[in-house]
Formats: sequence, C-alpha cells, structure tokens
Amino acid sequence: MSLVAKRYAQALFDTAVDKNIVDGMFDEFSTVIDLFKSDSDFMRLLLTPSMNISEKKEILGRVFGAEFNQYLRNFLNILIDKNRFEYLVEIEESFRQLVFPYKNMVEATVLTVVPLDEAQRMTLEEKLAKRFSKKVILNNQIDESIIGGAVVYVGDQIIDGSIRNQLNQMKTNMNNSRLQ
Amino acid sequence: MFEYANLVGIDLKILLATIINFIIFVLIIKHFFYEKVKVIIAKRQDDVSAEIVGATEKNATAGKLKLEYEGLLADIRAKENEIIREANTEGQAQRHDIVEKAHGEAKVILAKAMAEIELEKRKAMNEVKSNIVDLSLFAAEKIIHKSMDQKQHEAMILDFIDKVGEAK
Repeated sequence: MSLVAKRYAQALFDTAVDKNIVDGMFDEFSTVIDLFKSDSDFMRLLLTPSMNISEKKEILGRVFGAEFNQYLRNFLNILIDKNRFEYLVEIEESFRQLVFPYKNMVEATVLTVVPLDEAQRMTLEEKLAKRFSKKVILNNQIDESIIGGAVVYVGDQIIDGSIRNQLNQMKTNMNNSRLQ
Repeated sequence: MFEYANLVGIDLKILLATIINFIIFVLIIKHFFYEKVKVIIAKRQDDVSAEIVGATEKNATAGKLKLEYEGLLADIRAKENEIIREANTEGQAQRHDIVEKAHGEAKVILAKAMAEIELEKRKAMNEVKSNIVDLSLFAAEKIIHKSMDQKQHEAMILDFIDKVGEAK
C-alpha cells in the first residue's frame, strides 16, 4: 500500500473521528468504492486527462449528492484537485484498516458453493463476533472448489468446514497409514 | 788291427791320471764351491721351510676364517629362516585381517543394498498407495460434487454455522 494512500486515509479517518461520523463515513465510503468497482468506466472517466477538474467535480457532485456526507464529498473533490483519484481504492482499503481496530471490527471472508442467504449471513456474523469478541464484517465468495460446506478466513485464522478439507484430511490419514 | 786294439784297451796310466784329475777336481770344487753351494742349499731349505710354515699358517687362518664364515653363514641362514617365518606369520595375519575386513565390508554392502532395496520397495508401494488414494479421492470428489444439491449445500452450511460458535 502506497504512502500517499495511507496519508489520505489517515486524514479522512481523523476527520471522521473528530466529527464522530466513523460509522457513516465507513458505510458511505464503501458504497462509493462498490460503485467504482462495479463500473470501471466511471473510474476511467474521472481519470481521463482530457477532462478538466471542474467537469470531474461536477460529475462527482451529481453522482454523490446530498445523501453522502459533506466531508466525504469534499475528500473526493480534493483527490480530483490534487490529481490523486487513482489512489481511491487504495485509500479506501487503508481507511478500512484504520476503522476496523477503532470500531473493534474485523473483516471475514466466507467461501461457500451456494450463496448465503441473509439469515445465514447474520447468524454466521453473530457466531463469529462471539468467537472473536469483535464485530465481524462478512464477505461471501462463491468457490466451487471447496465442494461443499464453508471456509471462513478471519485475519490470519482459517475455519475450514469444507468437504475439500475433509477429503484432504482423509488423504493425509490414508497416506500416513502404514502398508502391511 | 793292432792300431784299433789300442783304442778299446785299458791304459792304466791314463786311468790313474783320470782318477787323480777327478780327485783334484773334486778337491777344487770342494774347496771353492762346496760351502757356497751348501749355504745356498741351506738358504733354499730355510726358504722352503718358511714357505711351508707360512702356507701352514695361512691354511690354519683360512680354516679359521672358513669356520668363522660358516658360523656367520649359519647365523645368516638362521636369521633368514626367522625372517621368512616372521614374514609368513605376518602374511598369514594380514591375510586373515584382509579376509575379515573384506567379509565385514561385504556384510556392510549387503546390508546397505538390502536397506536400499527395502527403501525403494517402500517408496514404490507408497507411490502406488498414493496414486490409489488420489484416484479414490478424485472419484469420491466427483461423486460428491455431482450428488450434492442446493438443499444439501445449505444443510452443510447450516451445520458449519452451528459448529463455528462451539470451539474457540
């Protein structure tokens, strides 16, 4: 992660803490990033050198209107002014890393073959929150290679309840068994 | 004929004169040469005696030396025999050592070869076992993958969620 991204993220985080809007800032920044990730043309448009700064800011103002907090909108405009918009994704990542420990939150990824429904997601989040004594932000990814069950990654910990893991364990046991 | 008879007859005067001449000759010889000849002969006799004594001494010395050399020769032969005997003994010992060592080395080589064979055998068996395991699990994976439906997936997920909270 670049130093530029870290500096901008830190500035945004400090403002959010100062104004006591960390949760709102985190949610809104995530929404902004989701939008840019889902529409790469939009990001390319804002990085186009042929378009001038005021035009870019006007587009941003129209897309991210009054429903987004003023500080985040100002932040995006500053990135345009300073020609640092290309660091947006990195800044959001760095911002998450600042927010998570501050809010006692942790990001988790759960791999499943079929998507989790909302109830399953919430139950799993609750169970993981209890287990790790932290609020868990769960990200569900589909991975057919696990065959069945689920695998949860929380930081550097893995909870593997997949059929793939069971088969691997079976394979290890069978390979370790002595031949007569 | 008478002339010739005088030639073969004995003339006493001549005979007497001849005898006197002879005696005079002997006396002259005795007077002038006898002692000298005697001295020469005595000297020669002394020389011969000296030669004989020298030869006897040399002979004795030679005999002594012969005995000495024979003694030395006997010693040398005894030593030679001793050396040969020692060499034989040492040779036997070395032969024994070499044979023992060769046996030992052969045993080690054999044991190593046996261990390598055993290792290779085990390796091959493990490889076969590993292949069988891989194939079995591959087949199992395919069957499970094919037989799992949405409900079974969800059931497994629910089971996982239930167990997540159990152990820390």
